[in-house]
Amino acid sequence: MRNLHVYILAAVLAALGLGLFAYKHYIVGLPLRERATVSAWQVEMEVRVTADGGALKIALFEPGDSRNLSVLDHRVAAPDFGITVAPQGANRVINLAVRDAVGQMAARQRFLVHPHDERRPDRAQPPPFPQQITLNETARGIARNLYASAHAKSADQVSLVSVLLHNLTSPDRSQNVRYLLGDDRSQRRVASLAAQILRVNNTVARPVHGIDLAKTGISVEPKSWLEVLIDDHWQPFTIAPDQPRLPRSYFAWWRGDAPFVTVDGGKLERSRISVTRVDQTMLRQALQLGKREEAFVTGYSFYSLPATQREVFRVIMTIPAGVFLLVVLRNLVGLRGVGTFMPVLIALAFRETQLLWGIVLFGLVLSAGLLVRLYFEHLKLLLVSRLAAILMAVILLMAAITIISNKLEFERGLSVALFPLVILTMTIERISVVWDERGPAEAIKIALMSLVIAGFCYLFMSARPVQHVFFAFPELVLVLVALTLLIGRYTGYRLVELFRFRELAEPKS
Amino acid sequence: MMVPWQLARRLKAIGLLGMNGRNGDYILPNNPRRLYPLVDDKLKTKTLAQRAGLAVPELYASFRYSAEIRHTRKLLDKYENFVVKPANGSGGDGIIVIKGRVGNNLRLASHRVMGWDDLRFHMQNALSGIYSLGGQDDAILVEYCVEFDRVFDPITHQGVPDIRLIAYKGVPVMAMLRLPTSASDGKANLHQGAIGAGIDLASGRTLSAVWHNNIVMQHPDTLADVSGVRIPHFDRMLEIAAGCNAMTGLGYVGVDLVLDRSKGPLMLELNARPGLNIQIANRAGLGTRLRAVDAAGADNLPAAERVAFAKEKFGVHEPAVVAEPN
Repeated sequence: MRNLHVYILAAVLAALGLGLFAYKHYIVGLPLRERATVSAWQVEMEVRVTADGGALKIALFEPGDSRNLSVLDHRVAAPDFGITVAPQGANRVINLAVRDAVGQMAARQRFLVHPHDERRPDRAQPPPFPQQITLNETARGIARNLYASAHAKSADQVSLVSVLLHNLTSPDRSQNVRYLLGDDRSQRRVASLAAQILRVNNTVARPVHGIDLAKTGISVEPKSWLEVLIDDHWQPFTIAPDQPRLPRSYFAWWRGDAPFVTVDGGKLERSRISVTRVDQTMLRQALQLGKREEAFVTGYSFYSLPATQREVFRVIMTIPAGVFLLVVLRNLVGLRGVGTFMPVLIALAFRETQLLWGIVLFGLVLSAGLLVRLYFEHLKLLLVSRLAAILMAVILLMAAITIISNKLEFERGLSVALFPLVILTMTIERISVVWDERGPAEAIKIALMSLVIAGFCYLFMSARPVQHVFFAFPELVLVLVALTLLIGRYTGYRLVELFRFRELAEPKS
Repeated sequence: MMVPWQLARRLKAIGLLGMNGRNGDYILPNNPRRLYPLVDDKLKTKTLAQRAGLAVPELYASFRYSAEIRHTRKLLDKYENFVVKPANGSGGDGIIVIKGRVGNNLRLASHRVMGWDDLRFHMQNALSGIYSLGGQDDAILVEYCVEFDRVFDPITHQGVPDIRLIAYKGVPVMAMLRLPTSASDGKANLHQGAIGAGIDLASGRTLSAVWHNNIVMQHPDTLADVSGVRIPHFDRMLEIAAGCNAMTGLGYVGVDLVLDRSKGPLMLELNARPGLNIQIANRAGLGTRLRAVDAAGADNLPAAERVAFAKEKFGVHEPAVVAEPN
């Protein structure tokens, strides 16, 4: 009954901890390795304008998320302008305005594009009818003909659009197509025209403009493609007929026929887009995404704390790990140290000194303290006075070590001042009690064993991956609690007992 | 060399009880923490035993406050031999055995001489908690000095030979004879170098003995045989052990007994967390026997039948197993 209770409790705690962990790791994207990186692209757009003098208005498009790419860390740098952002159709437009503009003006926007797990496209909101049609009557007639011939050679909407795009881009374009396209045969023009043709025939379509992230450089060409509303979803079509599927590296920036930059009251000198590939830690990415979406998990995590408290918790959260290791070493392996959690405290103290120095200092102060104690023993002092005298001697000893090592410009020694004093004195007291009760051999054995356990705990607790995992996923402590409960009901042998009782395992003679 | 899991399987097969098993399956469910002071404080144990009518070494005097110590001589001068013990001492620390006088001074069992002032100083220290775990205030008891039965003369070098019994729910389950050696400095703890000899519960005869995890036939100091020794009054010891669970309320308890030349078996102290080495001395596992007690529901039997159950179930019933010396 008691066991069942423990198992159920452990299972619930473990499920809770692992569930939260899985959610944070797989859904929110907090990485298991602190330094795990993910590729991202930094996109920068620069606009240079020569002002006519007087009021100047520049309109840029603000990028948004697409099905597999997320925009993070968007910044606009336009020191001379007033900046407002407003939605406009499917886009968000950044309006830069200044009343008295003189000479050359520059504005920049910069952002990071992160790959993201594919999102299910939302049901699209169709744009209001009637759609804007810019073709004249003659052109509309041609458009109807083109649509009809494509319709005849296709089976459904998707193939219809493909055929239409093929007809618009193939080298042996018909006379009609040439008439519609004119001299401009850019992707932008083709996408725009295709949208118009489809609109004339009551199909909802729009041109999309963006960049190909696969082509990095300081001056990249914008790409254009077409989106057609099919079954309530926007279906993308590339203009190049040999590449019917839209590459995942295509990043949609703005939609519609409007040019990328609209300048009012000046002359656009240059607009340049540069794309560079950067490595971003997954941690940073997850935290920024979480911050933007105001996610509960990242908002209520240690990452939301001020830096000093964050560092404190980075240490504190490793204590459960150390204590758990101690439980394993004591109840499953069977090592014994001083006190119950003393080795974990000693391990914490090692953080200040590093392992090797910690052991040297610890051994030095401890053995000196025990020597002092041995001498006092000779004087037959009563217990409390004896312990007090030992404590004072330990403090003097530590002071001496600190001052001498400082004089020798021996930097490590200084940290002995931070070396928790109480931990040392308590350890000396405990070990001297063992010395009294079980003799020096046992006391030295216990002291060494404590150091070994503390060393293990230190190595475990100070490992960066361990620190990161328990800092990023504090719910894993629940899993440790569950395991500790299970070990608490483990009544099998400890490892050292197998050695201790090995005689009995031999068959009786 | 066996791999760990093979070892574990073998040990499990003989029913060996490990530390986790002892703590988790027997001590935690059967020994309530609040009863520990009854056995940790030897003075309390003694009063409890006297009230229950168990044979214990006679209490001559007890001290709880340092002001009482000045009456030491007045109280004790009439006794030729006596033992001074801190009530919370462990492992035999702080025990002084007085055997007679040298003029105005006391003669120790080790033939050293001690003045009354020295004794009072020692008692003062003991009261302040030098020998108690954690250093809390202590008490002192002064009691009858046991005259050991002659049967132990050939196999005792110095110190106190005693008999440790494990009693579970009123049933004695295992026993061993502990013999101090010169290596153990007169102490009877196995890990300090004492010899442990398992005892056949049915016959009261010692089985093979272990010393430092080795099987031994002879006492290393006296070279006398330690196995096959028949312990007198062993049935009486089983009866005493069988009464200790009800007396203390502890379901799993270690009972330490000594054998006095004239007074027979006397209960010295109890232990709420008795060690596991007794299994090595008996070359048998405690787990099997404890489970047998639970399975038979032997704790509901009257005392005499509980002892009979133990002798029937846990006795060897054949000549003592003689192991090859190695």
